[in-house]
Amino acid sequence: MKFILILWFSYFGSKIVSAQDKIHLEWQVQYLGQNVPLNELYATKTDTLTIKELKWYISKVSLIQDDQIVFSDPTIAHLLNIADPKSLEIELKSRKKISFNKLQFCIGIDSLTNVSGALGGDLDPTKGMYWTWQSGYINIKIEGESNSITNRDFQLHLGGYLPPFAAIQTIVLPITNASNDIKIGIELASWLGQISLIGPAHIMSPSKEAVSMSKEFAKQFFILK
Amino acid sequence: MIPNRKYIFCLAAIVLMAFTTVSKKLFSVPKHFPKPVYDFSKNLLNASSITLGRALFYDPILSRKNTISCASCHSPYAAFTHIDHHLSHGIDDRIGTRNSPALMNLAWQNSFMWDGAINHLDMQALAPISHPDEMGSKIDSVIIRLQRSTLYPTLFYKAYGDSTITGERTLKSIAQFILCIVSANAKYDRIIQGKEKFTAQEANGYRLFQKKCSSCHKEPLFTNYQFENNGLPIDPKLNDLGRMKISHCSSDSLKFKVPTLRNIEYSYPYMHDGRFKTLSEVLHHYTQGIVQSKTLSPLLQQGIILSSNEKVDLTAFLLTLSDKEFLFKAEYAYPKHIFFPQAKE
Ligand code: HEC
Ligand code: HEC
Repeated sequence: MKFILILWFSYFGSKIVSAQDKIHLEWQVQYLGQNVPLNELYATKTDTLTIKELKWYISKVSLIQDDQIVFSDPTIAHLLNIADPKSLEIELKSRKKISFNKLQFCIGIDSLTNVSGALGGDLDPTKGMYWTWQSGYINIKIEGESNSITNRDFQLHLGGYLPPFAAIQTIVLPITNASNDIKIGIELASWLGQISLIGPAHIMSPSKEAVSMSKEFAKQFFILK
Repeated sequence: MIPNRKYIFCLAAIVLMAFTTVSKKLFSVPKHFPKPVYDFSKNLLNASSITLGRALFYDPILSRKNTISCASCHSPYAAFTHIDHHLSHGIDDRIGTRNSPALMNLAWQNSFMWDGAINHLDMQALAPISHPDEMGSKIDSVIIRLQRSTLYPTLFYKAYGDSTITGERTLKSIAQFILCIVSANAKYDRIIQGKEKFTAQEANGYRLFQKKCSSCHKEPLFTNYQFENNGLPIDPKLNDLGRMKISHCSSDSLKFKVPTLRNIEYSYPYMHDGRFKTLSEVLHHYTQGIVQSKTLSPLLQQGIILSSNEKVDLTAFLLTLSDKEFLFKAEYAYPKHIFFPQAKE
């Protein structure tokens, strides 16, 4: 009986993907639970906010079943840009039938890719996510205005791959619902609230503050029901 | 119909072989040089992309106002450095904060700029293109200008088989051209290969060099590619801390990349800020001018002792590193035939 129960759990407790199945990932950026409109004034009780630009890299997407990686995305990295809704959707294609109960991905670009010279696709330096005066990708770029920040505007270019200021973050999210569509939410309110706490509202190079803000950003991801 | 796998494999092997034999001719490692560090397998050399890179290197189209090219600061006749400027001179006559280094043997170099800010040769061109005091543009605007030009879609087509212009292709082509800038035929090289002999004066200079200089300016590339503090007093106006800006380690304060001494006769002025105009000023620095500081190289803490005769001999040796052929090599020169195909030579 115990054995059957375990079987039952491992069958329904994880998502089974049939051969040549597609897994659809979609990112939704929110502020206090509502979708973030770009370039529009966004008012809350305590703050008014405008986001002018928000882009970030997702890399090494993989699906995990009980601590075993069962699928790895062959694309090195995806650039997600809220100005380009198509970029917020990623399709993973698996040849094999797989079941998984965790989604893992990194925010940012790893050190090996950072020292690999010129790359194409989403990693092409024309995407505006590469520092020019010093080699390295910008992992997360957000620019906007907020009332709660002195001088109103903020501009965070977070990245850096060299210790002690390596900024890449790994995230693991549990997947419990059995669906091909995974929606991932990002809640910006508390993260943006940290700007004035952690440091300057303008971060343009690898630094301690860039690492802290990247760590905090990574905490804002969750699976949307 | 799916073609036979074996057939595809053979075809791929032939194509690959064709490429490798071509790259061998386009770039060869001088016999007395170590293995290059640049990974050519990720950017296979091909004559048409080298040509494209050469055009880009000499074309002011990379700058915002179509006025400055890479060659403006890296002239072939000055071993690819900026003739007579101690700090580089860019767009709108703005002055930068550093002396433009001589460019050569870049395939052996693992980081670029005086402080190693650039980690890969492919990415180097982005820095001057975007720098407000240099070319004052942006790579995405450069791509648009290239797409609109009459020349470049054809050059990209020849190099890559289609005329799509991307940042990656642009950067890789520039890298291909500057990788080919190799200097290995100075008198020194011919002596190492047993084809010529030092004069007595040069031989004495060489002996002194090996004793006092070559641990940093290591043969045969005449640099160990490390960051060192060679005791220059800090310029309070520029307040340039060198490597520390990149590594964030205080132990790297005032360290700069050891530059090659090849073609030193042509690449004046000297040091990261071009503070010395002549080799005799440089030698005067090493014998009389070294400033003690926490990060000063242990090799220089006792100072370097050279008599005035020894200085003359050492200079005579340094002049054996001049590679005249390199300065006037047709393959590196301004590609008139690309920009003005009608014009007669
Ligand atoms: C306005 C002058 C200027 C222009 C234009 C310019 N450079 Fe430079 N270049 C410099 C200076 C100055 C440095 C050193 C900067 C530093 O160390 O911070 C440099 C460094 C370099 C280096 C590194 C060399 C080494 O030994 O570390 C390379 C390679 C290079 N430039 C290639 C190029 C290419 C390719 C272009 C055109 C896309 C270009 N440069 C345009 C001034 C210029
Ligand atoms: C401890 C390592 C070290 C030693 C030993 C050393 N150098 Fe240097 N050398 C450097 C560094 C580092 C620089 C660049 C410094 C800067 O620009 O801030 C340099 C720069 C130079 C330059 C200027 C090159 C250019 O293109 O601007 C010349 C010439 C030179 N050295 C000659 C010599 C000679 C000759 C000796 C022996 C008497 C010597 N060096 C010993 C580290 C060293």
